[in-house]
Formats: sequence, C-alpha cells, structure tokens
Amino acid sequence: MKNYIVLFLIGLFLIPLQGQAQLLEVNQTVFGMDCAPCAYGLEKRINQIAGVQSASVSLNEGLLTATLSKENQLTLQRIRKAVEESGFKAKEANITVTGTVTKNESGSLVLETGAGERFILEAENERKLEDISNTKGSLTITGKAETSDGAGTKLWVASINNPKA
Amino acid sequence: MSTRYPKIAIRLLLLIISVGLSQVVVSNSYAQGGHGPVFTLATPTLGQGELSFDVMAMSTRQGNSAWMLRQNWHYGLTEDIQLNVSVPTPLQRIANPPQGRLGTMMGSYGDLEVSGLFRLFKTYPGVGQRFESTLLLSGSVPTEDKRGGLHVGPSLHGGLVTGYASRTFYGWAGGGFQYYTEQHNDRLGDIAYVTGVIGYRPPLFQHDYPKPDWRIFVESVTEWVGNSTRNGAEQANTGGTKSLLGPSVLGLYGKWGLSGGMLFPVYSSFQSGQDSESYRLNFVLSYWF
Repeated sequence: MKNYIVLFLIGLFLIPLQGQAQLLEVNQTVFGMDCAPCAYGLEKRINQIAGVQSASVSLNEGLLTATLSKENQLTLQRIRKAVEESGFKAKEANITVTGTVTKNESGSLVLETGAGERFILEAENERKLEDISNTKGSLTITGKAETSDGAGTKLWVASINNPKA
Repeated sequence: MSTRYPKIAIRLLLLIISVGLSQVVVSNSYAQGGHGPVFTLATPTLGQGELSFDVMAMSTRQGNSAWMLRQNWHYGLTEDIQLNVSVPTPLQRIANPPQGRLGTMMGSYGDLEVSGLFRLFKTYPGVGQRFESTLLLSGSVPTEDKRGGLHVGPSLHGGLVTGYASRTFYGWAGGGFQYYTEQHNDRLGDIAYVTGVIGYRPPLFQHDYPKPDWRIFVESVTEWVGNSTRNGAEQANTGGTKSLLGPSVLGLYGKWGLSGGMLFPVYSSFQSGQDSESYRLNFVLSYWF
C-alpha cells in the first residue's frame, strides 16, 4: 500500500513537469475571414477547446490570439484545424512554446512539446541555433511557425527565453 | 390604406421579437453564414458544426401587397457544405402572386424549401479576402394547393454563384433554374434567373470586431418565367421576363445580423392580363448560435 502511495505522489509531481513542455501563446494569421459573425464563430470555437485560457479575434488584422492554460496538451495543428473547420485558411503564426530539443536524422534541431508536436527549428542567425543545441533540458522559444508541409512545421526562432547554456 | 396593415405589422414585429428572444435563451453553439446580400445569390457557408437562424419578413406587390415571414435554419455539415430549411408563413396572401424566387437563397413564394450549399472552390488571397464558388441545390414543396388559380406541385432548383469578399468590397454573380412538377394537370412556369450584387463597406464602418460591422449593397435580379399550364394547355398570358434592381444594407454585431432591402422593376415583358411586380421588400433578423 505504501508503494502505491509513493507512486501516486511521484505521479502527481510528474504531471506538472509534463505540462511545462507546451504551447503558451499563439498569434495565428487567418486568411478569408471578412465579417463579424465569422470572427464570433472562430473566437467561440477556439475558446471551447480544452486548454485555451482566452481567445480573441481581430478582423482587420486577420489575427487570432490565443493564450493557453498553464497546463495544456494543445498543439498548433489542433488550433489550425479549428481555423480550417471555421471555413478559413490558417497561415503563419507567431508562437511561444516550451519543449525539449533533440536532433533529427538530418541533423536539424527539433523542439518537441509535451503533446508530442515537433517543430523544426530555423534561425537567420546560426548563433541562435548553436545556443539552442548547447541547451540542456527544456527551453522556451518565441518565433514564427510556418504552415506545415507534411514534413513538420518550421519554427523560425526570434528569441530564446530561458537558455540554460 | 386598409386597417389590416397595422395589424399585420404588429403580428410581424411580435413574431420577430419572440423568435429572436427564444434564440437568446437557447444560444450555445457556433456562428457564421448567410451574411451576404438580401435578394441575390452569394457564396458564404457556415463553418463545420455551426448553426444559424434567421427570420425574414418579405413583401411584394402585384395588384395587392403580399406579406410573408420566412424562418430559415442553416447548419454547417462541413466548412464547405451547408444544409438549409426555409419555412414560409404567409401573413397576407394574394390570389395571383408573382412567379419568381423572391429571395434566391430560400425558395419561391409559399414554398417550403430544403437546400444544400456546396462550396466547390475557394482561395484566400489575403487577410479578410475570399474568392469562392458555391453550388446551391434544393427541393421545394408548396404550402398551398393553388397559386394564381393553378394547382402547384413540388419543384427542384439548382443555382451556381461565384464571387469575391473582402473587408471593403464584395461582389457575387450567379444564376439558377427552378423546375416545377405537374400537379392535377397544371404546372407553374419554370424560372430561370441571374443575379448580381456589389457591396461596399465605407471607411466609417471599418472598425474592428467586436464593434458593429455595416455594409451596403446594390442588388439586381433578372428572371425569365416560363408559361404556366392549365389542364394540360399552355397559358398564353403567363410568363415573361423581368429585371429588378435596388439597394440593401446589412448590419452585423457579434452574433446578430440585421438586413433589409428593396428591389424595384427596371424592365418587364409580362403579357397583358398579368400585373407587373411593383416591388420586393425584405427585412431579415439573423442569429448565429
């Protein structure tokens, strides 16, 4: 019985650790949205997704802004799918995401979130990628996520928020 | 003016208010769709799983004025397929109503219509911009036995529309055909039509969501109505061509929409013995769940 209690307590500690590797904020550019009910529908649809803390829509800028819960298992692909279900086109997005970095078969750096979503990291300044590859553990990156081409979503790194290197 | 008009107006207002209020109470879903012009074909479809409702007050005059309410339900099966049901509630019938689709998206005078919108093509050139084409297929059953003295049967209808929408300019062009089946040896004349509409949202109304969103349209409808058949014989004094043109305005605020417009005849070739249509008038209150 004692062992089960210990395992349970360990499990409780693991849940928040898992939740830390995740999407934190999404500023998704949306094409094709031209009216107030369009914006209302998209805003409502996004707000109903588990893990979304708040969402708002700008019609004039064609922008969906979603702030996500402290712990969530959301993926950018899920949000983009909701945009498409609303009848619009999801283009590039500025996102803030926490995850762990590994290298894939071709040697590219890949950031993986707790929900299993993988971003292929790109940077105009190679130094940034070096900083990232020297980082141990999880890190938070803000950058522009391209539309997915099937091989993975490219994330152009703008800033590295907490490199431990 | 007849004393019936104030009574009809009060009934109309009460119905719109009661339906509107009932929708406020049960609201719990998604939005979008049906946010185009009042009389003419347009392309927008609801998003997947979205539901909207509108109640429409329509009037036309051909000798005497006819008044009708239409309750329209719209559901987005997918983001490209929308199902619609349009139920007419005549408030004041006239003996010989004009042949034509009073609102091209929701059936002819007195017809209960079930329809599907299929978005065949779409492309998004930029923020707030859409270029798309949509097919409309529908089937109607009449809510009265006779119309204009003729037995009226079910009908089939198909339409195609293509157009562009942005935050500033709108434009759609389309056309369709409605075929009436024979009923007790009578048959209403088929209707072929083309529609065109241009819209503009002035800078004054280009505020961002959730502020109110207004736009104005100029709409046009041209209909070719075939000869009707009575007891198997084609009626010479039926059928003809008419073109109507007029303004409309659409206001959107969050999940509510309010629109209205009026079309006036600019051309009519209807034969003697049949009054020409004096106007078409529509007011629509929409709600997106």
